[in-house]
Amino acid sequence: MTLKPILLVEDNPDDEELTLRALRKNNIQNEVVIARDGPQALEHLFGADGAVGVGPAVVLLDLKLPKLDGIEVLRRIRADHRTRLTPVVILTSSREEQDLIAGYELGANSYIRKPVDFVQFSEAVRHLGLYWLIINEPPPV
Amino acid sequence: MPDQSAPFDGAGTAPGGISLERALFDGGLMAAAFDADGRMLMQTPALADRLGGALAAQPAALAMDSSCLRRATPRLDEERNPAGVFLVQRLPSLRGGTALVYRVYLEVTSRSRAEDDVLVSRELFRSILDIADDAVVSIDERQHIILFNQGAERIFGYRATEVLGQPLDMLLPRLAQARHQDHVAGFRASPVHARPMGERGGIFGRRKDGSVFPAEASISRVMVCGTVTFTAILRDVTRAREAEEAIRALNADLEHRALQLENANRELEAFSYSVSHDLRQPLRSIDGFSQVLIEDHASQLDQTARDALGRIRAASQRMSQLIDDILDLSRLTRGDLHRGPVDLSDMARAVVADLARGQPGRAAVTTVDIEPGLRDEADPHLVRVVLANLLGNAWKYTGRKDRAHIAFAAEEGEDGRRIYVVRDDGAGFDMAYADKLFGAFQRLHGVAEFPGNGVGLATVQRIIHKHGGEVWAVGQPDCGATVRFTLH
Repeated sequence: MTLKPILLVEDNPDDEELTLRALRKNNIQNEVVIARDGPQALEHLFGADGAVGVGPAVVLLDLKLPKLDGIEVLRRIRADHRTRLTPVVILTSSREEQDLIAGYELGANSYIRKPVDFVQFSEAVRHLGLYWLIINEPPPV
Repeated sequence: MPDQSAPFDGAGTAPGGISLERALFDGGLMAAAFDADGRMLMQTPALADRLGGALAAQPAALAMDSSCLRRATPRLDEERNPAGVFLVQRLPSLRGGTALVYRVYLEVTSRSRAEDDVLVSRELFRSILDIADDAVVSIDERQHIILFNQGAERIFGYRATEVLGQPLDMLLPRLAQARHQDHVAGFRASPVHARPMGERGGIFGRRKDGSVFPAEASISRVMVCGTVTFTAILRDVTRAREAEEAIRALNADLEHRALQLENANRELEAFSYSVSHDLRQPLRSIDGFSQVLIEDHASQLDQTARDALGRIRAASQRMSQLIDDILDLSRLTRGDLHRGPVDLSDMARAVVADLARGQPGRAAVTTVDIEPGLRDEADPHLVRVVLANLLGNAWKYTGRKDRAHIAFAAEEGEDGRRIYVVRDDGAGFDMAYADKLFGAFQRLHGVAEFPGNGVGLATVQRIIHKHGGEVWAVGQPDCGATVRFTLH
């Protein structure tokens, strides 16, 4: 059985590197597709020509992104029938109330604030992988 | 008052033993009392004023027949004579015997009554005119001034004698003269008898010194003996206009400031948002890649290098905590206050229970006294933050003692306001630094001595100020600290 990829939407190369490291260290084998801004994320999900690729197992979505921000990306994911059930985990720096509210209102499945402490961050990624890739039953395609 | 004009024919003593003086002088009537020999005993001041010594000097009058009295008393003036005398009371005289009390009426001819009425109404009219603050100016049909009251003298600066008979134009700004004449002509033709002036824009008057002032006025039209007169009642509204202008300016200023404040708040919000998102990311890199070095290159690092990396990580985590604290502090000032009923005693008990749970190995044997039933109207969430900080401090700074005592109570201030008190007998502080106590990131103890980041009391102060209350503290090193606050 081929593992569905993880879509990591992250514009900061350090955070990208640290997230990949945390995934690796926790033996998460899924392919990680990286989108560095909002439009790239949408392109990965819906294809440049509108064709649908393989839906990701989970989208790890940063909020502060160039061009289209994470909240807007989430809105479009939920607005499209092909992706409206796709698990989306907001993985971001802020715990500003407005972000939390907007995230959950638009149907984010989870909201995780990246800890500064890498050990804690790695632990959070481990839980995240365990939950969304193993424990959780994904929606039917 | 009994009808005193009815002759009294009773037994001779006044009911209830009323004294003669009292019976006579009650009510300011014209009355006199005589003894049985016809000598006048006394007369009321009103009668004395009117008739002078006439009665006393004319014992012959004392038959007290009214026609006799009329003959006996001199004519006061052309129209006024005593018109009647009635026996109204028999009273025991102070000198023994009986006193007869007579009431005296004056006859007033109908001609003099009518003139009196005119006199009275003229007097009334004049005094009303003169006490009025407003200018009352009447003009005749040719628009010449025929009445100019004291108010008008004050407002226009002319004496009445200077303007009576003069054209009204002298009271108007030159530019307004023609328009005003049209106005009066238009009003003359209109069916209404009175209306406010200057409905479309202000009207103005001109003073003797030439200065022009804004006015409010109403005009009325009265027909007197077949000729039309116009009367304007006019008020100088210079000050009212100035006040309005000042209010307008203040309002504009206020709006401007409100806008500035709103902008500042928006900027602060944007700033916080950006801090929240952007300031933590570099810390994650610092911490994360330090950890990469520790994990992946352990063999190349000696103890000193590992120690340095440990410090780098600790510092970045601490900075991340500081950022969170700053954001929390700024969030407190931005949010709205939602007052509701709060039981501070319950809340304090819960806070202390949390503290005890959070530190099971605490060495100090701690007694906590909480005054029961302290209820108030405040923001429950924020008051909880206040109590958590104050009791948390008390808890922290008594931690090094063997036995500690913490109290939460209320007392009444001089102005009747309730003052809450959090008291401990812990490390205390030097009053010389009391002014630093409530500043953000100000600490009076080293982190090694007592941990903390210095935002606790700053947070408390912000919350208390947001409630419109005050917070202050007294302390002494090693003897404890007492923090007092109000919530209104």
